[in-house]
Amino acid sequence: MLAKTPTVATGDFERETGWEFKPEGACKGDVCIALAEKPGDRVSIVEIATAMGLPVVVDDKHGFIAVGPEALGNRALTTAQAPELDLPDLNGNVFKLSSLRGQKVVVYAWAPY
Amino acid sequence: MWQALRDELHPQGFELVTVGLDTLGAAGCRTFMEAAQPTHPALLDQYHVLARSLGVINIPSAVWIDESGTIVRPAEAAPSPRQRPRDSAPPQLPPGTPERVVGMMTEAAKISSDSEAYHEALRDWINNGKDSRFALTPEQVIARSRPRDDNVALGHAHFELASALELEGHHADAITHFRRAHELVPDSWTFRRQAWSLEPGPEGPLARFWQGPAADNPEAWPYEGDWLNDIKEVGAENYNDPFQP
Repeated sequence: MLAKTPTVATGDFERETGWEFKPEGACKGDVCIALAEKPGDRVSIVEIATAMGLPVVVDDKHGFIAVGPEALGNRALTTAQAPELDLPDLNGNVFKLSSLRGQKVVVYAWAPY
Repeated sequence: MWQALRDELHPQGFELVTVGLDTLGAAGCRTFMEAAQPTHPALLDQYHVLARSLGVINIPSAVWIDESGTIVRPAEAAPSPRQRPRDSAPPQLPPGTPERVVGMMTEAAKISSDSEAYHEALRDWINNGKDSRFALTPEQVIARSRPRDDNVALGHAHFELASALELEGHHADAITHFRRAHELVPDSWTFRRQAWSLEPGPEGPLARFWQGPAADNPEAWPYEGDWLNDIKEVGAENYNDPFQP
């Protein structure tokens, strides 16, 4: 995830990283990372990412904070539960992958280069 | 190709979602998307969310997801449905084609693909669902997803930052972080091709495909590798992993 402020709304952090805060910790699918305490309405990005073991790159020149994904189990996927994807179409309308539940789906990555 | 396959299988409860991975977003993808006239969701991914969240490292690749939202095959090479027998002979190019483009087309013709096996497997899954031998268990899906250690995870943060810097017009600073991402995630072709494609190429339709040093000013190229050299080093036949049932 990317941010230009040191703190963000907790819900935004959850949506951007795919990790949800529950009483047992930060959870994705059936995997949880234990945390000392459940975050409040806002989180300090560097603090929470560090507590979760997520990599952080701070760009002081332009004011960006970038948080990388987890490397749990040394694999790209921590769980086989599909992540939510909310990506725009050509008209800027955001499409949610979860809206296709009940169908078999192939997510196909291509590029124009 | 994929569009026809989608329309054929859609009545059986199948949907295709295409995602264009490009920092330039609609500006980079629009022409191709409008030409394809998709009847399925066709989306844009400017920050390569599919790399971070699904482990996509090359294109074209695809992930299969069942009716309950469970991944049954992680990101893997997804060749197009074959329209005609493969012709691996070097392409016939018009006289005057730049030497670099001849080299690239020659290498591209050598890229292997398991189109028949892949599409037989896809149809088998559409017909048989979880009973298909190509539908993997959650444990297999996780184990077959891309390797990711702490360096790779850090490389994803650098790539996302580079994308944001590029979009804000800080091209030189973006290069610094693209380079770091390339060092940390050396198996990602998309991270490299994306960055290379943002460097100025020759005028015209080849601009984004040039992806390497300019013939008249090779010292200005800001990256360690380029498409032609990297694919020769790896071997075009190894560009895609073979389909693994």
